[in-house]
Amino acid sequence: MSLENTKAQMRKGVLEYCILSILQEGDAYSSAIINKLKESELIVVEGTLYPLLTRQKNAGLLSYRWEESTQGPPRKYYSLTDEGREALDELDKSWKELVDAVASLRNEK
Amino acid sequence: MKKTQKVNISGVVFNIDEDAYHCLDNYLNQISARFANLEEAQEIVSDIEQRIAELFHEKGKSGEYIVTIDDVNEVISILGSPSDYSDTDADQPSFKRKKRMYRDVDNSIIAGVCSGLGNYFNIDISIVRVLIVILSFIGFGTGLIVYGLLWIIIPPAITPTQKLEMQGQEFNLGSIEHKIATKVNQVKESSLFDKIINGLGKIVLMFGKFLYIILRAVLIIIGITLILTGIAFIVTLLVALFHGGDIFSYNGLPLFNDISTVIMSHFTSVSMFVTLAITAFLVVFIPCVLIIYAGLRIIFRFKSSDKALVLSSVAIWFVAAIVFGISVALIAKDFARERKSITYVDNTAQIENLHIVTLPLPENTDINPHAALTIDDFSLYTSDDGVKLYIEPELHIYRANGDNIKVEIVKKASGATKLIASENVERIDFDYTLRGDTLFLDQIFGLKDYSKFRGQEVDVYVYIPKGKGVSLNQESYNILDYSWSVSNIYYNQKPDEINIMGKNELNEDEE
Repeated sequence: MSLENTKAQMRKGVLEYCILSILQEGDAYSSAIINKLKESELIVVEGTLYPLLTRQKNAGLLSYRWEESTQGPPRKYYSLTDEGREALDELDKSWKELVDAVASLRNEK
Repeated sequence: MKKTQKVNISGVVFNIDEDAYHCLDNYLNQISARFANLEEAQEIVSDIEQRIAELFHEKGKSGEYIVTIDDVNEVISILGSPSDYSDTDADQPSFKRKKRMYRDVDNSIIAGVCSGLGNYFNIDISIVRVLIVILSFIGFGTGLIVYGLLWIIIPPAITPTQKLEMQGQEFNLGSIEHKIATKVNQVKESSLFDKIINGLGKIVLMFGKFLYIILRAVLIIIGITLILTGIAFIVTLLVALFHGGDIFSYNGLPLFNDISTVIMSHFTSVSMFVTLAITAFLVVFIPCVLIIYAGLRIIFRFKSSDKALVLSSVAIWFVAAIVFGISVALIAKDFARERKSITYVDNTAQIENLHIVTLPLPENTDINPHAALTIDDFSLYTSDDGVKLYIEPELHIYRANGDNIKVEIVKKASGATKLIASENVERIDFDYTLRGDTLFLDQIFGLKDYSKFRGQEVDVYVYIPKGKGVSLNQESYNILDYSWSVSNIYYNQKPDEINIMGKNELNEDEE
């Protein structure tokens, strides 16, 4: 297992968590989600995100609707479902646990 | 100048340069291939297309604006290259491809034969090369010949897929992309040993190419020979079928026409004859076609899935050969048993000089005096009501042991059983009469009741004692069989002259 692979695995887990977090603050279309993730330097290229969004939607965590755009093609607006909210709560918890666990491990050294 | 075309991306129309279009199309295809095994592939790709449309649009550049290759590259850098679409959850389909032998043209000195062998057998390439070189010097050039043959036989690994198959690597999209990438950045690492080999290789290369050309030339010659042989056989076959008569009988009688079937009906049933002809044709024809095909393959080296074709033609050949064999056996069965009847002609004891008169074909007969087909001593004569089978009797003259002239008529015929053979003997329609000292014989005899030909024969044996004579008319000479006793008159025919039997033979010189 290479370091790159480990990093990618870590990022990928966090990424799903982050998408749900962004949508908690309000519905957003995919480009907006991407822009936010880019700003926080969680992703470098956009391509990574589309499979994730589709999978989360198919898992029932997200729903989407089409909205006309004044600029260009109609856009997919994603929103959290109730299931998605529950999932986010669980992820919040486990994230905290993880951070605490790592922090305590690091402090012991 | 660049060609521009219109594309519809996610419902928005853009003008796009042709090179930009190909780049984008290629990109989308690669992405599609990445997700090919996912259910949601369609959706993901359409999402991505939509994003591409949005990105082009964001530049405020729909309508009159023309998308260039730079725009496409920019979009790709935003979206990421196909390998960035990593998706560890979804296992990519990976096939353990069977390892196959290819020439490793990337690591070649001459044609990549040694490196290919090394790859296939997991041996260090240098060892293979040294072995080949040693074989070339010690084995009187065996190595070179082996090398040349392998060069021709083993295909080169050109596509990434083939290169992976060559190394027996796991086979999926990622590995192919990796293969492409490494090829681009490949730097040949070479040790001193490799360099020496390399230098040698360059010299061998020239020689190898020369050898290759010669080998190809030889193969082409073999190919042409095969094709010509096949064609020659087929032409011979066709000529034999349709003009066989011109060659095999003096009156010209093609095998496939009305007369020929009538003729054959004297031997066997027409259906059996047709079966024989067709199966015999196939038995000869199919190998000819296969030979020509092999020749064409050698010359043009085309690949085709010809297994089914070859197998089915071989199968047809076997069936034809078996049917032919059975037919021949069935006909042969009708000749299994032979019977003969012997009749002695009475009142020959007092004759001093025997006159043998073979009656020519009567003037008023409907038989055409020229035989349509003559093989040995049987002939087919055409008559007004078709073709009839007539057979010539044979006349044999020997010295008699006793003091009297003796005449013996022997009729022979075959059949499936002894009974049938006897019946066939009965049906021989041969007449003879002795009037005074003249023996009248029929020049030809027919078969009663439309009997088929079953080896019917009539032999007239004439025994002349020493001192007594015999005369033959012209027609009798025609049916005379050669023997020691008649050697003096066989070639110097003197019709109607009396020949006196000497100690051993007719007209013997006194010593």
